[in-house]
Amino acid sequence: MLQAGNILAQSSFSFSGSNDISGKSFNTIGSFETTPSNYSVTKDWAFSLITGGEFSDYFNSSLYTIALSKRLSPHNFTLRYTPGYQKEFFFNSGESIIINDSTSNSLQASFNYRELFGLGYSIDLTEELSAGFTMRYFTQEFNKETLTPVFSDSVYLLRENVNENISFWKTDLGIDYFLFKDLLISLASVNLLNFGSSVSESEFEKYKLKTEKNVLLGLNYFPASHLNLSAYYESSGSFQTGLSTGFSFLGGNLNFSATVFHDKYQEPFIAGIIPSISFSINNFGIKILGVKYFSNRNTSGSYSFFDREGINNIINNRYSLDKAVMNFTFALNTQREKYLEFIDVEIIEEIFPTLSESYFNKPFAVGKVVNIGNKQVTVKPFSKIEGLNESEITSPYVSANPGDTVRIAFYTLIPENYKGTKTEISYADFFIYSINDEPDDRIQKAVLVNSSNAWDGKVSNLKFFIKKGFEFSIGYSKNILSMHKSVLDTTKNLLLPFVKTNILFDHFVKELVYTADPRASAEYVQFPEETVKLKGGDCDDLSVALSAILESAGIQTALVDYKADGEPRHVNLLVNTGLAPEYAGFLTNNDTKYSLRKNEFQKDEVWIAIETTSLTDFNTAWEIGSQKFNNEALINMGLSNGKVEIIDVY
Amino acid sequence: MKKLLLLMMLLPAMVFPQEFKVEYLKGTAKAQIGSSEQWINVIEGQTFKPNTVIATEENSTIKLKKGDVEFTMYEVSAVNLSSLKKLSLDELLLALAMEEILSAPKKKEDVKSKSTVVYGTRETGKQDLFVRSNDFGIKRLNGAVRLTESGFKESAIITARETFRKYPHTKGLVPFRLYFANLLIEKNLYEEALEEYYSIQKLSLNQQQKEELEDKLEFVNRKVVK
Repeated sequence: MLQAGNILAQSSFSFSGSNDISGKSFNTIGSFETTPSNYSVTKDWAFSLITGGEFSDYFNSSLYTIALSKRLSPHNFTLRYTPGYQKEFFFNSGESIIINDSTSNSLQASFNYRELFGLGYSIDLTEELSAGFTMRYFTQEFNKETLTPVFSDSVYLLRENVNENISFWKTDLGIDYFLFKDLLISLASVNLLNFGSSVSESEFEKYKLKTEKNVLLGLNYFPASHLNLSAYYESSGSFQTGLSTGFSFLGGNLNFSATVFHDKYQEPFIAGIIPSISFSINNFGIKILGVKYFSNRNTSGSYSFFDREGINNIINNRYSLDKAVMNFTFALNTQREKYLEFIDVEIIEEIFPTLSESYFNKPFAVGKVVNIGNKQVTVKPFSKIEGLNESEITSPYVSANPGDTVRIAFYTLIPENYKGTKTEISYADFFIYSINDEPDDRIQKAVLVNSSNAWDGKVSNLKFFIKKGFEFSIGYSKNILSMHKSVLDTTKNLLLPFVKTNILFDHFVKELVYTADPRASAEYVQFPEETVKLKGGDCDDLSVALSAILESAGIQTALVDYKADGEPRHVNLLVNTGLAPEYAGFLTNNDTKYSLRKNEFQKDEVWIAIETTSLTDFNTAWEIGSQKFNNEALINMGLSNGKVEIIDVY
Repeated sequence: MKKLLLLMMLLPAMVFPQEFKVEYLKGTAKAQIGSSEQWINVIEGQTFKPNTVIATEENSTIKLKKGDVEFTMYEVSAVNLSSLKKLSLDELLLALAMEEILSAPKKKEDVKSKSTVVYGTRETGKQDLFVRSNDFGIKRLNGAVRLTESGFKESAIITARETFRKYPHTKGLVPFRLYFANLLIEKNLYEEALEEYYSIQKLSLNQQQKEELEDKLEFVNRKVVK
């Protein structure tokens, strides 16, 4: 027979035990008992399955719960199916019938309590504050045999079975607030709102689940990275408290926890303990816990006591048995938390590998990213072009407020040793990170990667061809100048740049021929070494090669870009003689053959224009170059109206 | 049809001659064509393209003509024929901006006068400012003054500024500096004029020049403040 006594158990009892040490784990989803507010840290999808069994004369296993949680930030939804949340009582009602043969037959009573499913909703109002509610659906089935006297020719007793099924919804509200980064406070109602069908047979009223209204206060404190202390107190006087600790293990976290609970309606004062061990790695978690009651538990009890007190908790009451429970949790999402989403990425520049440095200053792609979260985050953009980048390239970070769409510029780096001979379509992967180790979003776009010799047609970018393969130019110029050592040794120092230019040019053009670029549709520029080996090139190739050779000898050069309307674009060179204007007379009797440019010390220096396609001799190239420069850059004001541009190589 | 096309092609050359013709020459004048290193003697009736520099010797005068443009240059002067054209104020500003584009912005420089030339009056004709010297920089400045007097004030300003840079010793010629700085005021280019006056202030000035400079500075400062 059942023992007498109250069986009003605490409401916050659950099979989740203490929180994991992070306190923000997805392992506790669907634990409506401890979190009536449906507070959850699920990032996207999370799934939980709890199975276990009771220890009685034999082990009864059952599937306790299946829970599914989904976040549509800042909203979180949870569905819980609880086939194992049931408790069934069979009693002899205490009344019996004496049959004719003197045998007696007891009348039966049975009571079946079930929680079938529940749903929860919560919203993150701020980064620290969340509020929500849960609704749980219960059914109760009452059966009782009664004897009814029937008066006819004789009086006899009719044995009848009285049955009643009722159901109700239990609704509670709650809020969770991070008072500090390491202290979570929870406040929730217990049995705030219950509605459903009522019993028609008044005698069953007393067997209904007790739904006494209470308030639940919870505290979760994280004093260290691997330590969590939790406590839940109900206004009825019941409470539970737990401790959880752990360490990193096999790339995941191994946690141990223990929760003890006091139920003022159960004996002894600490009614039981819930020890657990759990392991979580990436998006998967497993927890094994036990429920050990400190009082003796029997499978039989007093009907009169049950008849008087009833129950108020299906899974934790005076009749509950020790349990072993296993909780599997899996986060279905691949992203722990997502704040950012790509709207699109536009490739604005095809890739010209030789113009590598230019990509430091200009983006090759521009993306639009929206902050779908509820807090300001820093957008950390990365990109990786297949075949070009070995690792992800970081671009400048941008701050994004909730709901804002921000423009993200993607820059790239091109390895110096890249040598692509063909123009190919490659793919660029774009990533955006916010607070996670994993990207919030990614997108892939096709991008045209040109060959190393490809040029975008901007004269300012020819300087990259000049700088490439500088070792060859140094060797080339050193070799030629060493052949004219005697001349150079007898030259005044201030005239050395001019004389060197003269020598290098004359040697450079000796075996060269001018060849128009055959690739009219696609700009193609030879590297200096290629021009020397091929013994020819167009104005771009020759200007690049001569500039590289002069620069390698310490002579400053600038490219002159003539963009005359209706005529083919032309490029030649300005060369710095390093002379002050007072000494220009050493070079020429004609003051229209040079121009003055200020150096970094704001002193005028004499620069001369060289026509690199004039492959005869230095003086002729100078004359032609200066005439063109005078006419188009100065007299026709090409420098002012943008038709002529000077681009310093360094 | 072919004749018509030919006529159309020749018409501009006939209506707008591209070359300067020497209408009158007294004494000796020389020409340097394009990028040539050589100076050739000029004779009457000879024609020159605009990319030619004409320079006169002492006691010489030359008169050049191209269409409606007539230009007389007196002794010890030099002019680039491409300067003999009217420029608008906008074109002048573009040309001044070109100096900046070609070079980094220049700082005010501490230039000491190196001038040892003798200021005088020319033998023939009449010119506001004239320095007798065979120094080519000074010839350029004399030519620039003639450009001013002939109505090519914008070209004169450009020529003078270029000459002061290409022949740095001419920066010390205070009368020329003041002359062309005053020309900037005439063109309402007050900021440019102010910069030039501050530069002139650092030179060795006589009392008269100092007083003139102070007057100009006060005037330009008032204009700039406005």
